Amino acid sequence: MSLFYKNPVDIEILFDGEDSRKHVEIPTNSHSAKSLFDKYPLFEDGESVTGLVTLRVREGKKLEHSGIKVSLIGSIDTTGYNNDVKNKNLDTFLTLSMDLCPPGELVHSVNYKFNFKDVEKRFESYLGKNVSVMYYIKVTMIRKSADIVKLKKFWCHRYANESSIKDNEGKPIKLDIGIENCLHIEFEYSKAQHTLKDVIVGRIYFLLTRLKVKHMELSLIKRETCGTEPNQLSDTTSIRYEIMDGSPVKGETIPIRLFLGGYDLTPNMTCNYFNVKNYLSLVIIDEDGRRYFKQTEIMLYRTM
Amino acid sequence: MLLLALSDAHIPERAIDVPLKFRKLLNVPNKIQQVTLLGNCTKSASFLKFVNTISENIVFVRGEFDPATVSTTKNPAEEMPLSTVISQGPFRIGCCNGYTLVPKNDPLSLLTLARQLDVDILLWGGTHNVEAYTLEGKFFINPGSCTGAFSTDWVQEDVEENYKTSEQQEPAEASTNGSNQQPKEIKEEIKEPSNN
Amino acid sequence: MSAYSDNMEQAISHIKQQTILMQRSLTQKKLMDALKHCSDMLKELRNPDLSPKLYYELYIIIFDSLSILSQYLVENHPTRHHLADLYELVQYTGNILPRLYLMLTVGVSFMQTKDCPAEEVLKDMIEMCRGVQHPIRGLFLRYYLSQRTKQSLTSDISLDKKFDIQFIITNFIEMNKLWVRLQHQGPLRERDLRTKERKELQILIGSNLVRLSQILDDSFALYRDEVLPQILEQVIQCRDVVSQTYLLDVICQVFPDEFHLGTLSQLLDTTLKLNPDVVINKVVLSLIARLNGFWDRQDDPNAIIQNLNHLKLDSNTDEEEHSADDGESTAEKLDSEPVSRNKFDLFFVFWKYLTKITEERPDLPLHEIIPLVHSIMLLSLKWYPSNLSNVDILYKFCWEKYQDFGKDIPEECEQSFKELFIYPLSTDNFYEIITTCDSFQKLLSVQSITLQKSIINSILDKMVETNTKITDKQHLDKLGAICEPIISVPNNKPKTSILTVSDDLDSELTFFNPEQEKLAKLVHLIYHKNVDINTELLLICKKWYYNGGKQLRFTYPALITAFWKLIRKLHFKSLKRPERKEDYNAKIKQLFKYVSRCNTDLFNVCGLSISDLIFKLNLQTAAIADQLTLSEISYDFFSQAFTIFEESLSDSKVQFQALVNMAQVLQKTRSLYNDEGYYDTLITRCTLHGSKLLKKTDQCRAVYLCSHLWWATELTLIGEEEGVTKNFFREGKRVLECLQRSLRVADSIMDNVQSCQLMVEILGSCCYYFIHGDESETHVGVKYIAGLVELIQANLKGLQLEESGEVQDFTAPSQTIVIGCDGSYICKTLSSSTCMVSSKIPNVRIPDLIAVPVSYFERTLEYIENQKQVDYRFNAITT
Repeated sequence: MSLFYKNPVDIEILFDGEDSRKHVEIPTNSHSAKSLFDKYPLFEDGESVTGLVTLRVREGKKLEHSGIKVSLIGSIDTTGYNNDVKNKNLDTFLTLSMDLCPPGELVHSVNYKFNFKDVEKRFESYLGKNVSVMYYIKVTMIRKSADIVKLKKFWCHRYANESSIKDNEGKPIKLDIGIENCLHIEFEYSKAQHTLKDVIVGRIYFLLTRLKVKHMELSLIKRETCGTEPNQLSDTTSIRYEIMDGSPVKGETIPIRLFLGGYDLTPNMTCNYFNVKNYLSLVIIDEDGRRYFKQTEIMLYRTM
Repeated sequence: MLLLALSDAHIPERAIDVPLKFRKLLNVPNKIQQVTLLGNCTKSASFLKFVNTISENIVFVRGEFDPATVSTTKNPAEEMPLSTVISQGPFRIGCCNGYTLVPKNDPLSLLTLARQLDVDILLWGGTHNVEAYTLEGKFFINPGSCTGAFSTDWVQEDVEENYKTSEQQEPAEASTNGSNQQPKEIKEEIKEPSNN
Repeated sequence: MSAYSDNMEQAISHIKQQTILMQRSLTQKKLMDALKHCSDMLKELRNPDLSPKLYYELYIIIFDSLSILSQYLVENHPTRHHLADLYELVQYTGNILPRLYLMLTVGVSFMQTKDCPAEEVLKDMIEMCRGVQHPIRGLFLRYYLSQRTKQSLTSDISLDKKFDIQFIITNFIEMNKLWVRLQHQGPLRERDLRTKERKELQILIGSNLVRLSQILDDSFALYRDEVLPQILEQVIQCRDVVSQTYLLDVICQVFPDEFHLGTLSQLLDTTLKLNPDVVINKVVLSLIARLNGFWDRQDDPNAIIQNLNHLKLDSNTDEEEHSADDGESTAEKLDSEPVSRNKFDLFFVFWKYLTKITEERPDLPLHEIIPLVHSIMLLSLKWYPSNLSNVDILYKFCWEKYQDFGKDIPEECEQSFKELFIYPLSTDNFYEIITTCDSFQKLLSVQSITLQKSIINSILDKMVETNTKITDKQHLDKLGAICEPIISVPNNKPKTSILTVSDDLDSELTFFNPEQEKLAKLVHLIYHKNVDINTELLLICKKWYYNGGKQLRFTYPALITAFWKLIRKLHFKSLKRPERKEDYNAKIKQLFKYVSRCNTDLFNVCGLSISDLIFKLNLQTAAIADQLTLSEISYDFFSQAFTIFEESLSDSKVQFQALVNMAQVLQKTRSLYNDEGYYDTLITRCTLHGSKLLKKTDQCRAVYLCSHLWWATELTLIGEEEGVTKNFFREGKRVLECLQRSLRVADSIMDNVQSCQLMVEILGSCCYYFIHGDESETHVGVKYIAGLVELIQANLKGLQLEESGEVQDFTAPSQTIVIGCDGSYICKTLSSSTCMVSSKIPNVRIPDLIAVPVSYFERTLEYIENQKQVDYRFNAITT
């Protein structure tokens, strides 16, 4: 579009201290993108979003407008869920606006500061298969003809309140499962709630093994669900991690340790539109290739 | 060549075995070509086995306590002669225990026997005494008892005392034949007829 | 991505390729890439289809590759990376096996740096290794851990020894579990293959114990309290035959002897708890072999016995209560047992063990118990060689066991029992053992007869070999009891009647009986300087031998020799102490009676088959009696000999030889020239018998030989000398009579060859007498000799005439024949160095036969000619 038509004004949005701000790299969703990652500046829930908008008018041109405003918008895109590309399904849950300048004429380049103070960001930024949560700053130059709009995405992390989580953390997950007369195991994860940088620690205790186990894996599964029954759509991604090779005998204890920090994980999320849940799945594969598994939900949360 | 003459072993009725030193001395395979047993040597299987290891060529004559026959590889009941002759190179050697010789151990009798057998050397036994001498151009050898066996012949008195003490000191080597002679081997060096 | 190669070649080349890539990355300082290559090559170790051998091959290559990485990691820490970070980083590897290898490599590298919490890292690594449960992969992984840590643990880091040991033990236990599990992999029919594979891998497990012994050094308390209990616990727990056998053996081998001494009961108790299929005695044997080796290695073995007490005391102070308890119960037991000794006695420890094991394992078969006893015996004989009651106890124990098992003793026990008997024979104390340990004989007597005989033979061999003198009555009794099976004839029916001929012949032929030969030799080992006791011992022996039935002929001659020796000994004693002559003579007479008794027994039991032997024994005894101037006794024995000659000697050849032998003996007697005319009676009788022999040739030879009975010759040993001694018994007249009679017989013989031969022999005799004395004494004069020569010449001429008609050409004889002293033909062929001797006329050409007397005569004439030069009297003989 820009090849044929050049905007008469160049709008640039720059967050305060953007260069030094932490950024996150998010895998590009679209297949056409050149780079694998997109980089976004990172904000926390409740953090003020301030910055500078620079409008550059071409030399010698005048630009008439009916006012310029800046907005902070948070939206949930469930397009993927509807599976209808044309019909964008966008739901904006947060809109904060402020006017930058009254209607008038732009003759030369100007800077405007903007400041959204202590913005509450209800949801984490999220980019899933069917759902995404996006935050951005939108600068709109209202014109009689088409408005000139400039967006700048940023990323939001919500950090859990550690003290509240600590209460639940101490409880390990203990499970006792088996196949009658064939396999009986007890396993234990030291806790049900983990931070994203945590290590999952646990052990599996074999009470009975008639099964010829070939190996055992731990899968970390993220399940994203959106919509409501019966049109619910969910997507699962998992990380596989082998934790045992060979067939143990009765009485054997196998340690589990999985570092989470190295993986790109999503904390649990729940909202009206969708939710993201995490599960640990213990998979036992026998010599004939049969898989036996047990899923346990775990809670992942983000901390500083 | 070497010829070994053994006589009067009297195993087991009068002696236990050939002294160890003696056995060690003889235990050199293929050194001795011919063994002659001059009587009273055939009652012990182990002794004969030992002799067999020295040489396979064994000639024997009968002593008074030998059985009439002995079993050999050729003949299970080979008669034991009183006297026999073997030849080695240019020499004829007569063998005899001499228990039918009267008078016993008499040089003239032995000479007569040597003449009768037409031999140059006469090996004889039965007396348990080592003797070697020449008479009328003939050589006479008695190897004594190879075990130092007891002899019923006349013995010297004073030696008997030595026997007593020696028995206490070194019983294995004790010579009980009264003469206190260590058993000796007579190995006759016989030269081959010179061809060169 | 996660696949391993299909075959070894591919796998090896893959590993090598990845190694090169890894090295390249490392030189470029691209650690992440290097790790990726490592992880890639480590996948080869996931191959489940490799045999342990091939797996080991891959492992070795990979070990070397990872060493390169490890070195890089240490060298570049912390400048390029921090190993703590890397330790976490490598754990993101998705597959467990490569992950753990990398983790161990990084972890151990980390431990080599100063800031490492080494103990925690070690703990973590060993814990995480649990993730690999596959026997072979797990074993090698843990072996990798132990190999890597071995390098680092021994170098700079000084970990707490206890921790270090605990670490190795933990790893050892896990490895052993995996090793045991390997047995149960795969189909049942491959069980043996599994066992074989496992044995190939045993060193992996054993290396841990070697390592432990190196670290322990001399910390005995640590070994006793920490290490051994854990190891033994694992040994017991695993319940696996291969593992238990191997591990106990390794324990015995790798730890110091002193440690074993201090923990004996622990070790022994363990053997009680093993899998029933483990051969316990092998374990105990290797332990005892170790202890015995320890004994041998000491400069002063007796000092250990002293130290042993200290060692034991040490161990007791630690667990005072326990050991006190223990001591109490054993002490109780002791009261009922024959063993009652100091409890620091090694033998006692083993003995206690032995009783315990038989109590707790009543299922233990005899063929396993016996080797156990055997090994304990080895110990006792080594450590307490003089304490033979130990040995006795063991034999007794076996005997009781034997009774328990009753008749159903399996054959495989026989060998075990045999070793039990044989081993003591190789010790210095063997004689004491067999004579003082009552149970030795008791146990032996219940064995199979073959085994008994074999043992008895070994005992006798050993006795003879060591020349062990038997000086004690009890000992002899014991030996007799032991040897009973070879002494007694199984079906010893008294046989009064004369046996069948064939039976006699058989026994004559089997004059070799090695057993009886050994038994006979035993007599020569009996010795006591006191003649009375010696006699008593011999009589005991005689009593034993008497049970042997016809085997007497092997044993009695030796006994008789022993009596002869005693007789002579007493005789010399009496010469030395004439004042006690009476006493000695009484004993001598008694001994002669014993000899006579032996002869009678021989005759009664063995009968005709050995009458020749008995005849000669009588002769020799007579000779000895004569030498002692006991003329009456001598006469009696001669008479006995005559009786046997007359009644029992039937074979003509035997008769001839016996008679001539008698003449020889008689000719040497001196005491019989008494008023009673014993000598005269005997020689006349002898000559008479000679003249009545069946064959004329025998008659002729016997008679001319008997002529010597009237011509005593010097006995230099008793101081006689020809020409000096005046009172020789000589009667020339009778000599001549004999010769004449002999000549008449010779002349009457139809066979001219034999006739001539005999005449020449008589001529030889004549020459003998001619040399010996003047014609006035010998009555053999020139005239007589000349006449004889003429007669022979005439006869020979006739003989040659007889022959010339038959054969024209008189070529060189193909055989040389002479006639031996008994008239046998001694034929020598040209090809052989020895001669054929036969009493039959050999199958030869007549001229060869005729040549015999001819050449003999020529030799005699030549002799006479030669004599002329030394003795002028010979000149009178014209030839």
